[in-house]
Amino acid sequence: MKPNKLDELRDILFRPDHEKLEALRARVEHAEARAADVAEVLPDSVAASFERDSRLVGALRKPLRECISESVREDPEEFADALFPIMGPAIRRSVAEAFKAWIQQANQAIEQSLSPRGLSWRFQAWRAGIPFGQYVLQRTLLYRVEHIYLIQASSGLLIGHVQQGDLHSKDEDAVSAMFTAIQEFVKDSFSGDEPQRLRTAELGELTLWAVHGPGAVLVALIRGVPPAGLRTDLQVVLERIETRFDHEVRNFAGERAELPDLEPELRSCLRTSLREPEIRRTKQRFSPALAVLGVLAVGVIAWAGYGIWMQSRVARIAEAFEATAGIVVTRIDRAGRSLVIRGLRDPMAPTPEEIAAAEGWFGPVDASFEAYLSLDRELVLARARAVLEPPDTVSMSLDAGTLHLAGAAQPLWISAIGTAAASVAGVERIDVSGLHADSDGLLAAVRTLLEPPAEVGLALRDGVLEVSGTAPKPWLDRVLATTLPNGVDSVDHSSLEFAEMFALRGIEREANAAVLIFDSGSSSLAGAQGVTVEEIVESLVEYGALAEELGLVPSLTITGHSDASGTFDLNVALERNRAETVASAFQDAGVEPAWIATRSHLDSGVAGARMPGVTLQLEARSSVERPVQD
Amino acid sequence: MRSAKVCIIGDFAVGKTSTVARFVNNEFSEKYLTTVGVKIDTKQVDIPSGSVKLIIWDVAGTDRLSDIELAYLRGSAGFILVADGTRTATVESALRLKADIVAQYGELPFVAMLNKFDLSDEWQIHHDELAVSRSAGVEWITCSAKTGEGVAMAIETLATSISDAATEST
Ligand SMILES: Nc1nc2c(ncn2[C@@H]2O[C@H](COP(=O)(O)OP(=O)(O)O)[C@@H](O)[C@H]2O)c(=O)[nH]1
Ligand SMILES: [Mg+2]
Repeated sequence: MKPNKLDELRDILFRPDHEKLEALRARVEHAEARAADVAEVLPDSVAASFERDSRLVGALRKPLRECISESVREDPEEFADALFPIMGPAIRRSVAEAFKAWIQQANQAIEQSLSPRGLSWRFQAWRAGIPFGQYVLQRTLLYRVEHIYLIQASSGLLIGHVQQGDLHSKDEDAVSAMFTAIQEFVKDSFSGDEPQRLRTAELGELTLWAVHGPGAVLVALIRGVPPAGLRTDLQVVLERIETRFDHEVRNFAGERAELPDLEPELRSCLRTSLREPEIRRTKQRFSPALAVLGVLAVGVIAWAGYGIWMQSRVARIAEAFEATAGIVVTRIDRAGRSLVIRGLRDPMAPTPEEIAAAEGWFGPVDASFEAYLSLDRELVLARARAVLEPPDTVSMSLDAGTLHLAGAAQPLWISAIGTAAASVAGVERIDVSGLHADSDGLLAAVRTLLEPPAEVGLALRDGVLEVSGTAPKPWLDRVLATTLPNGVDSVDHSSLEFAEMFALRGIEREANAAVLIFDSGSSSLAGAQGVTVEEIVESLVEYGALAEELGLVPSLTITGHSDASGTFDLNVALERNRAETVASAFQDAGVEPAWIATRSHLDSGVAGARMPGVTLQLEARSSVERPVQD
Repeated sequence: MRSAKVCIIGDFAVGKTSTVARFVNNEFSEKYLTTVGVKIDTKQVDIPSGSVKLIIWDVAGTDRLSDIELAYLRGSAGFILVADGTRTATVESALRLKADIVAQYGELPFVAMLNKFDLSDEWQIHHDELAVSRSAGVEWITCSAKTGEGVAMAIETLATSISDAATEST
């Protein structure tokens, strides 16, 4: 056969198989096609392998572990964030289990203990009808969560804030930002590589607790001693908030109104725990037996009293009439249902019906009196009161025909009193030395006398002249040397500020904010200054005069600063020179050298900015507290 | 009401603290500035689109921001750049500070205040310097913390850009 014939034959015989073979080779050789193939069967293979035995698990274990630890190493932050919502509850649950077991143990130990306190607490708990463990908790815990702040971790913006209803707070946005700033500061200043977070702070009675999540910080301000479990509760609330409002918290841009559902979550943290509330309730328990006894006792007493009252009724009424000033009784008895009385009566005296009614007689009264003027003291006083109509602030007394008047009244009333009193029967003389103008009138008189400056407020309270506001010291000296009118017993100037002091503080504030600028590296003052040496000297001279007026001694500390370039030693020298430059400029311009001290900012270790400048610290002390110099 | 964090930055003694003091409700003592390095004040600003409560962080920085000062800027909706018209160098450091911030946090709304205008007789700022600023995208608003001139206007301008930026992004 010819070779081409043979080829032809082979072609006929094997062609279909050859084509298949070609296709197969293509599939094996092309990685992409192979991947697609495997992908198609992979899920089923994995499932089948799992069904059959555990070899697959064994094979995957190592690479998977590698994989996870690799990615944790690379970006722990992201990993932690992802795990946070799951891990929080999981860890808590296991801690809670451990805790429960521990509490049970402790509970048993205490229950079995026979210490007096253990027994007494047991008894109390039994009386209160609450579990012993709970009672122990109540005895030891007393706290109140006063404020809750939810703060965006990145910016310090306040996402939400709630507080106990009866509290007022500073601007909560500022508090939130300041918390974040301080936390940032602590983080930067005291921690190493590991980021530290501010978790708790004690501020006297208050405790601050912060729990941190990936996007937000929940801060609780607590009065008293919070239980450890509260931190867990805060953590739970924060986790729930971060899950529910994940997007809103992360992308919060200062618009609080967009998060109304947040408030109930935050409110749930405002807990109050009071000591022994249950016990107090049981003490007030109502006792029916006691109530029945009480009713019986009242009944017996009322019955006995009624009898006695019936018998002595008329006798007591007669006595009452006889005891009443301005009434002379000639006859009194009972006729049927009415009371019959005869006698003399001053018009100022109470009516017979009034006297009888005061003694419990509400039946008819048959009274007939002749008019007369009594000289009884009460009656004369009553007559004087009716004629003179004194204000409530005036008291009157009668002593051997002399009417004494004392207290505060309108000046006009006081001037008319003499003539009016002459027409009162029973008053022979009148004594007005105890009278003074009322506070309005008195205040007007004091005002004319003292001529207070416009910034001064005057008030009269119980004879004390209260002086407030601002005034020059010489004015107060004059006030204290003045004899004040009747009715002013003393002067209270504790809330009066001296104008000199006010001006003094103003100069202090200004001087302590001033920065004198130097050229970098140089110890001569720069050309342009916000505040010039001359301006400062002018205020210092004024300060000196004011301080003297107030009996204070000024002190001025001049601190030299330097910027970050140069060595420590060179900078300290430079700072000293700068402070000295300013000190001598001040002295040349007439500032008292004894006030002045200079120092280097770096050397003295005080806080302050690194800058080529000089700052001042001006204050005034009373000469007594002046530090002893050696 | 929207609240927004704002930082005020600039070289030493340009008048940052004075500017804030002139404008805000004082919340915390100045002592925080020396101890913690930052002081916070708030101010409600009424602008045409509503009210914005600015929470102003006064960072005790100088011509370069330290890491912590840069950290304080985190989450800011904008910033106030201050320079001292009597000292040309402070304009340069302001531009540098702005570049630092942009490198770290991207472009943010800001306002630039050229302070101590009450001393304008002694100003050393020349047209070329202002031209440099302009090419860096900074238009200076002249003002004086001493007299108060221009301060409120500058801060209202910032509040408006912050509010606009927030509306755009939502
Ligand atoms: N003349 C003048 N002085 C100012 C002005 N603003 C601030 N100063 C003064 O500049 C100095 C530094 O001010 P300060 O606010 O402490 O600057 P900061 O370091 O940027 O906070 C102080 O002496 C201020 O009195 C201003 O507008 N005019
Ligand atoms: Mg400052």
